[in-house]
Amino acid sequence: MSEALIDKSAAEIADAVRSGEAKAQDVVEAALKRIEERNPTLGAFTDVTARRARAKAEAIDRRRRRGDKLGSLVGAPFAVKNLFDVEGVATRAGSKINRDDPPAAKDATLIARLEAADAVLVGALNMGEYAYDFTGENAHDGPSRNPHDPRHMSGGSSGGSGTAAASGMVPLTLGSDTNGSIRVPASLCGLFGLKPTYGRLSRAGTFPFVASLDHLGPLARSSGDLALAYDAMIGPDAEDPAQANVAVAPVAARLSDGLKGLRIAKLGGYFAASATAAAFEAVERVAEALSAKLTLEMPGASRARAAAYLITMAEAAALHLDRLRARRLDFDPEVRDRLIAGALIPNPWIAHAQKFRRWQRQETLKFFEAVDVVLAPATPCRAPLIGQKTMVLDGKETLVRPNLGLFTQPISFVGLPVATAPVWTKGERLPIGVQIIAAPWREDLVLRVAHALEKAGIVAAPVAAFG
Amino acid sequence: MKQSTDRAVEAPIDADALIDALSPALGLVVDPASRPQVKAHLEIAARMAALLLEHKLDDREEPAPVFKP
Repeated sequence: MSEALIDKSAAEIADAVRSGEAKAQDVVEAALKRIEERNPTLGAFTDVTARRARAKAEAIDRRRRRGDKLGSLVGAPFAVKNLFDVEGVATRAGSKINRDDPPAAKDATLIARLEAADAVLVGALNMGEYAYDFTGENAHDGPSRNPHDPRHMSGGSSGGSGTAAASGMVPLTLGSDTNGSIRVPASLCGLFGLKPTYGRLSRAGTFPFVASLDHLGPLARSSGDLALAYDAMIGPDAEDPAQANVAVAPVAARLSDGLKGLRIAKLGGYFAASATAAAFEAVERVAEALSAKLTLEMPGASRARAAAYLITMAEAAALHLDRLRARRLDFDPEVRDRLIAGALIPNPWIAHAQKFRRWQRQETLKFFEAVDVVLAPATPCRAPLIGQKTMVLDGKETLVRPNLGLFTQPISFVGLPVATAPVWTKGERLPIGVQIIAAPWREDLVLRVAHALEKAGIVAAPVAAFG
Repeated sequence: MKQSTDRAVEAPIDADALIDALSPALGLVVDPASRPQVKAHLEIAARMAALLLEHKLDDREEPAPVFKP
């Protein structure tokens, strides 16, 4: 029973544990067995916290027997990108260098909150070095592979977060998204992903990448699990100075409110060029199901991407400057050379980019007066092959690594909430995602739309067949 | 208007000069094997900057991050 149970959603697992149909300990053993079987092929986990997970599960089963109140995610195993602090584990952030750091003294806030909802942490996940990546490849730990076809990329930089959830090792993972690092692996691995509004979730206890643009969020195989995890993680945290002072707004109870009254449109212009047909077909299919006939242009999109690109280069270079000086040979060369270039770019470009960001914010807020939700491709293509350096977009050979995020980057630049939903085409082994985007603080809308599409069977996130 | 991923915005930049002038000032070593990649990334950045700088800002425009004392 537990073997089948590990294929279920976190919500279904929690129901089974709560009702006594399943024991938390059996679920954790099933997850650990899955990891043992599949991880050597797929490269999702870098650290498995089995002892801790077993102790937590045993405590849950004991509390249930006593009749204690149990949390919303009771017994659901989850894992986190290895830039989250996990007590007793060095926070490697995908690097070789940081694994020399002392073990983290305590868990990141979001881990503590998921565990307060009785979810069970089972480990830390592979990622692109220092999150500067869209491929899911890692020079030190090997690539996280796409469970739907392991010859292909998981997408990154939250690559292990995509691989672990899509392969059924765990139903729920956490990732980070600076320019698309949740949405790209969600698209390539066929998962639901949520990048909340900038400043919504606490970043305390995580290794940063670009302070101006870093977000954290969940990936899962259902929109309901995203909502449950999000609700468990929201709320103020004095340890995160970047968190916004906004009202706590849970979403799970309103997930099934449907589409009535929502004005939904497709994004045109920048978002309707430079991609494969698969990306546009996925948007069309979702738009048709939502009766979204209108196409709107988001002002400034190409410049928003350029500005995000430059801020990323500059802030990441500044963060890593000492390591670039002292340990340049211990970096993944692909990451190091981008970081070095970032240290050398002229400062006026960055000052301009930060001012442009304010302009873009104002224009985006005006844009959302006329529409509630907009749709765009999540990635320009299905998962490229591992090691693939270039791809052809609009008949032009284009670099894979920076351009997998070309549709995600302008959206996170102004911190908009986005759910990614996976679309499948008959005869194709690999999925592709669609971004469902709303105005700041409207996570409820993007999840409602994702849920409506899931209920209608337009989008889905099945566990990949293994072997 | 159709826009491609990296619009052909002319970006006059002497990446070699930047590398030679700034890397010693910052204490960074650019190995010969790395130089072509570092140059390529600087040239991409320069194209991005050229596109961005086409957008003229008001002198009184504020940057996005707001420091709250």
